[in-house]
Amino acid sequence: MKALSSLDMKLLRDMWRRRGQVLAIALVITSAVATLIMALGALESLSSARAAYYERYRFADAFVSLKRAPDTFATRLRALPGVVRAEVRVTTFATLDISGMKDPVRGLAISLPTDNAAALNALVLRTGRFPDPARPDEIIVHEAFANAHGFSPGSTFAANINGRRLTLTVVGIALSPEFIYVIAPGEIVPDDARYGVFWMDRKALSAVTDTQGAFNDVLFRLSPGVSERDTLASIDTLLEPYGGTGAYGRSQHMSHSFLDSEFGQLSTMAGVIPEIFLLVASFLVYSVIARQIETQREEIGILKAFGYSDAAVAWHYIKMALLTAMIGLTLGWASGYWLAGLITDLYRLYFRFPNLELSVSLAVLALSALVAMAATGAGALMAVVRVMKLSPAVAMAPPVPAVYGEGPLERLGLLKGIGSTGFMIVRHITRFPLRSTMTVTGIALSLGLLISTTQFFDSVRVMIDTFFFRAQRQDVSVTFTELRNENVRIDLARLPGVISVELRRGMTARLTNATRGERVYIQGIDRNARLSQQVDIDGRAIVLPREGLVLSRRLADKLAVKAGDTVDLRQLEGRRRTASVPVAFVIDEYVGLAAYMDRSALNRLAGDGPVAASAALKIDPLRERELFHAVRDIPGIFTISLQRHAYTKFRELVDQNIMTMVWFYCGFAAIIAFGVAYNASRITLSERSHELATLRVLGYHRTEVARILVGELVLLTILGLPLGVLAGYGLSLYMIERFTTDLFQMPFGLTAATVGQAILVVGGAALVSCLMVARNVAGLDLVRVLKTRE
Amino acid sequence: MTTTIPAPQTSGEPAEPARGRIAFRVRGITKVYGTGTAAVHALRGIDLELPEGEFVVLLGPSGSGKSTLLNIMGGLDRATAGSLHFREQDLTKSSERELTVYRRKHVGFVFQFYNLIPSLTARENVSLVTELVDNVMTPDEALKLVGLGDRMSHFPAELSGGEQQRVAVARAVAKRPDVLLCDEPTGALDSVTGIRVLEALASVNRQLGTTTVVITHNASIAVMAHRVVRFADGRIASVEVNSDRRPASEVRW
Repeated sequence: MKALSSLDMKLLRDMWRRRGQVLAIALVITSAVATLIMALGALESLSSARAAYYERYRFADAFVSLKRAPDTFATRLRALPGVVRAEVRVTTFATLDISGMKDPVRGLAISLPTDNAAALNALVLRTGRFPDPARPDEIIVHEAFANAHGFSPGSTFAANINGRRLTLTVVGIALSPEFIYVIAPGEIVPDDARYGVFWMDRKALSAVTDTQGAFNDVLFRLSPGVSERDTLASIDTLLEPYGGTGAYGRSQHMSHSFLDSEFGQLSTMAGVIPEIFLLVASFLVYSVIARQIETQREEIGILKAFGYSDAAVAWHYIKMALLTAMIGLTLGWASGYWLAGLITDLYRLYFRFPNLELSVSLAVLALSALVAMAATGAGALMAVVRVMKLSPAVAMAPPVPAVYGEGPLERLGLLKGIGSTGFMIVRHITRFPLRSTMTVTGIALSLGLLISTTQFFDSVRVMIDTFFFRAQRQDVSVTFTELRNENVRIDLARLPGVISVELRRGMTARLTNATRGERVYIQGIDRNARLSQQVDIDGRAIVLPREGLVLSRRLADKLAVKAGDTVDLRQLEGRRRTASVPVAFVIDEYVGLAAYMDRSALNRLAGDGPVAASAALKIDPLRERELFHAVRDIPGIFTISLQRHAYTKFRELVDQNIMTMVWFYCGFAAIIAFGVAYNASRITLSERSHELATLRVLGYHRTEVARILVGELVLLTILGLPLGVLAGYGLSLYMIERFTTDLFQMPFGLTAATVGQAILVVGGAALVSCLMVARNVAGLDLVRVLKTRE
Repeated sequence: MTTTIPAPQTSGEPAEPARGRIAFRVRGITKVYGTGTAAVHALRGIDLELPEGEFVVLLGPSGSGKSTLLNIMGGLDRATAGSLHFREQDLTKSSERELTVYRRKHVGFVFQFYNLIPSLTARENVSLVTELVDNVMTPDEALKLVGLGDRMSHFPAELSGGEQQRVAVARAVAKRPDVLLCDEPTGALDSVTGIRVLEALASVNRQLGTTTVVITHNASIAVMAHRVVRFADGRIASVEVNSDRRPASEVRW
């Protein structure tokens, strides 16, 4: 092995001597690399798992539900231009009665494909077998549902489908590419115990749904390169007489788009957080190398006098930065891989893949290495410019003494009474404006990062508060199998424990404005509704107009309409009416694409008379069980769900996911604050050791001397904190904006408590690091200071 | 040069030296740096008594132990063995904190390289010590004492070497210390400025009765001293009491 050159030995020894600072910078780089690997690693693992899953099990390109069409009609669909395959099937919702579950459970029954090995949305059989066509009671259940109830082949449960009670036997457990994320319609979080997907033989399902020789759901494979929009439009035209509710592509598929929004969040995370760390790392490298050069002026002069070129000396210092980056990179790769593993485990709880393996590609590793090296290299380059300029003679001479002067604050007399040590602090800060600015910026960025990540808590709290306590105040939701007239209100009110009833209806429709169009579900709510009132982002209750639509901001933007404009509405069900409807107003709310209308107005538009499709109930909680029993025996009630469960599930999700992440972010922010403050204090100590030792000689106690060191950092931190709050505010708005999808509009709800907590974490980390450095005051050499010129 | 020293603000300790009282009593002080074969014996058993109010010059070649003794007297370093009393306080048995209090209350230091704080003006450098203790001169009084009444708002970088050292003297005497310890105070100065600094030290000694100990390589400074202690190889070679003291102006470089 080749021996290290003397210069490299010097490099290693210098690094060892400054190991605390080297480690502090390395840890900031570690955080950058770790978050990058975590986000990109998880993103890559998820997206490649999804792509492979879709490919292998043939996830469909387009989907449509309809009322009913004869099987023979399928050939017409297959003949459409742009359609490669069209597979027809039967789907229906069911109410399930599972022993041990006192609460209502909803199910989605889907007919099995005739040949799973070639079918679109093919099942992945995990255990058991496919049902025997001769046994109508045999079913396959989705793994998520099976796990929630401990089902295995042989388990049985009862189902109420279309008013008929069946006893079903589980013979297999499977996954499906269309249910990676399983969520009940209208819910905002998955609840595997109360909503389950199962598959049964098509003849058996048709028998109970009166769809023999017919279908009500179609999966499409489209030819690559064709316009999806045109193909979907031609499907809609063809299915219109059969009650088609509007064909949609993958982007509107629930499971697919939930994954998409998760991907978006991961890439936002990868695009913002590591950059902040790297910026700080760059600052730190710059200040540490600049100080190193300052203290090694004479050595630099000697090296140059010996004949080392400017570039060789500069490279010597750049190598120090790059070595530091490599330490950070190695630790970052390891911790990033570990974090990506943790986050992938979290995803396994919500996303059901046959195989979700964490894989971090070489490209991601290379990218992280590149950015880490580039950031530290840039910091080092800025610092070594001075080395290049230094001539040997100048370098070997002692540095020109620092010239201090009175700043504007002093001239204005604003600093009276701060004492001599106070002046020492203030003038040192103003003497090195670049470095002071970097420290202030570093503290501000660390605070900004922490605020902008922990604010998601506030966001979720606002969402919970608005959604569950202000907007959706019902205890129970009931949906009907078909539209019912107003009398249903009386029927429901008679049920045990029911205090009040509010009726609703919805309508699937296509809204268009010139070339822009969206398929939406218009919610029809009574104008005077109390239980299911719409609340905007500021918590204001929305009173629906007598006529016209109310659109969510995101939908209005997509359609490029504003209050007062009109949109073309095309009903995708029932009588398939079309109308030109005014947009009464636009509201800011948390649901992405939403449209509302007064129920009576919607009924008139549909030509239906006073009807309802669902109801919101307020009930006496003590009579909950009684109510569920009573409902079970009423025909025409399709599903019943408890709001309380949605709330509990939501809280569980928040606690599991966000809490874990918040701990990471607190840790990361603390690392930045610690690194910034530690390096700033170290550099100050190095620059001022002579002065501080002099003060000790003059009779200052250690604590009094340490106070100067701590005071400077406290002052810089105090300057950094308000900037950090501003940065946090801005970053929060940006992240909220980036996290918004068609499914969700995140509310902005940053609270003083979150800001306060973040200040405590960042301020605390800065103070701890500075106190660690201040302990070195005890080791100042008082004797040497008498004998040496600084 | 102004030589009038302002009176203390409160009637505390006497301005006139209590002649005959012993300020420092040194008994068998040794100082060894390092251990084993690398051990360096800086002091090899020193006995010395310095009466209060005297102007004492320590002479000797480099490495003879004079600085080591001064550091121990100033509470900056610890002896390996022996005892060193300042009045009733045994500095060799004092804690770190007690030594800091000792320096704070009783000792003024003047260093070869001034050791001023570059970010503070002359006045603020003096304030550094006047803020610490009671019964002190104002920084302005101390600076006038050393003839810098018109340079008080200047930063060290704006002052000449001699001026900087006089600021250091002002800083050392402003708290009316009981002892003034000076390590090569003129070592970095030319003769004219060196003499001005010596004059300042002498006038403080005379008017405040401050026990003053000066280390120097310049043997001619000895003519100013009450007592001259010569060091050689970690031991005291001789102690002379000067019967015919000369003013600083007669010191030859």
